Amino acid sequence: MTTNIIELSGVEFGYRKRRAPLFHQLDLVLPAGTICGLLGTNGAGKSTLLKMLAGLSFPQAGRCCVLGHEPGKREPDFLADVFLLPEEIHVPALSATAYVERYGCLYPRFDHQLLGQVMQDFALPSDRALTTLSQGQKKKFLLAFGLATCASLFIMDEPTNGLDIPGKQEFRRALINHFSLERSFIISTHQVHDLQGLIDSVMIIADGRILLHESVDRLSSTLRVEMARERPADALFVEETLEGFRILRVNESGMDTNIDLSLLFGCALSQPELLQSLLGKTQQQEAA
Amino acid sequence: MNTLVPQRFWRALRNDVSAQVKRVGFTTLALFCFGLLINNVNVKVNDEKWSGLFDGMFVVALVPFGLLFASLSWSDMHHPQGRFHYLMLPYSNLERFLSRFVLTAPLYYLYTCAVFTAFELAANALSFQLNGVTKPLLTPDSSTVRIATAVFFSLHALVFAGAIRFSNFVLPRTALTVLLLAVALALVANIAIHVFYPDYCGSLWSCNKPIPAGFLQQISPQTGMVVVTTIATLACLWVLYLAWLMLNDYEAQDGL
Repeated sequence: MTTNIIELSGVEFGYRKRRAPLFHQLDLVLPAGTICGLLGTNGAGKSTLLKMLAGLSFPQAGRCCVLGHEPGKREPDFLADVFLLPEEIHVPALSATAYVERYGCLYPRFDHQLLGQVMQDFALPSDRALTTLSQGQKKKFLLAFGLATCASLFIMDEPTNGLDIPGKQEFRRALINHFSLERSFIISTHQVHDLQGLIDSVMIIADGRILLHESVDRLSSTLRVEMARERPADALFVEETLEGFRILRVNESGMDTNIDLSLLFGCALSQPELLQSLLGKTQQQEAA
Repeated sequence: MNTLVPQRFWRALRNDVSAQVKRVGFTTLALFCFGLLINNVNVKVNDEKWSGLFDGMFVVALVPFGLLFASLSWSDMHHPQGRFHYLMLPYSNLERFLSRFVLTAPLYYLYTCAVFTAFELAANALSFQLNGVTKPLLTPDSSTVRIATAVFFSLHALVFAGAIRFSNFVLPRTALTVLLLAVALALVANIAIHVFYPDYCGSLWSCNKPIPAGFLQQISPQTGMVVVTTIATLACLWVLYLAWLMLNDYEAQDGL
């Protein structure tokens, strides 16, 4: 039986300084054991949603349930089961070993072996002060620490910012290697190519609304990507490139295809209703 | 969530202590060496005149440095990036609050007393070797120690609350806030006297006739001290309660 790790219903949220609310009647359900990619424009509410899930921002109305807890209560047991890797990171002036010694014991399932393995994969030194590491190395260390906590929910905000190309590959490898059905990852990013082939569900958010939340499998069976010399009239979304046009179309072949997240994102922003109706049809067909 | 699990509280305290070891250690070492230097210079100059040097040094080590330490106690919570790390650590708010309070008030006090005793012994040993003279050691029941202790714990509560409320310039901002509150209270008291005892009031700050001996003049100095101590203790507890509310409010700054 699949359990939901996140259940949001009718959530309202707005910052005090803003007049208009950011989230209005926000609903979201996320099952356990998923790697969910969270995409959205700047100011769409991605980071706020992540903070709300981590118990750093509290909804003003509605129900917010994460791992069976109300995040706003900030219960220590909940905090020990969630790990947040924020976009802008801060590390104390400690070596990796001292950091782990100080904070690892706060997470009941902390796996020292896993930490050692990931740190070795990332080629991170354990004896140097974390503050002397590069930004990418600091991020890799916190990523390794987050994986080693074995927290049920690992929330990452722009985790690949500041990582070099091999670093991004190592990041993907680490997540894939240490993913399990008991854990869920939510990755918010603007670097859609970093998520390609990594995530199993996509959530697209704009203006505080979830425009799309769908599994990659369903997207692959509903949509397909093509290249064309001419701009087609019937495409869902078209992106001009040097070689011609990259097109997002309805997949009528019935065969699963690779989904281009960049095209999907463009389509979700420009034609959200059409995309939702297409996916709704596929869902009905699957049910039938 | 305000639970208090002893094991988690102990971890919080241990981590808070470890985070401050370097800062406190270097400051202690610098003060220790500086104190030894001052002591030996002054011992040589005039023993009688500087007989109260240890008293002054203890007050300096406890009050200004203790308050400075308390003012920095919540800096990680106000750090733009560090606050995510602080807020996501699996402690309850009560555990965070108590851990920082215990570290900056009773532990700091005990630490200062222990280090100062060691300093006195070292300073006397050194001055005996160099000059053949020593100074009397500070006793725990001396008036200096008692007054410094009372001042430290009273001001600590204010600075501790200020450290939660203000993200930077904690000491000046706390002092300014306390000053403004004191002025406001004085004005309120003055207005109240004018309203309730108009016969005694002339201009804003003067009396027409002497105020008769009342309750305060009749009580003995000992009773007066008990009353003042009780009021000060209650005021400190109230300020700490305000600090606790401010800490809870900090976590809920964008919420309900």
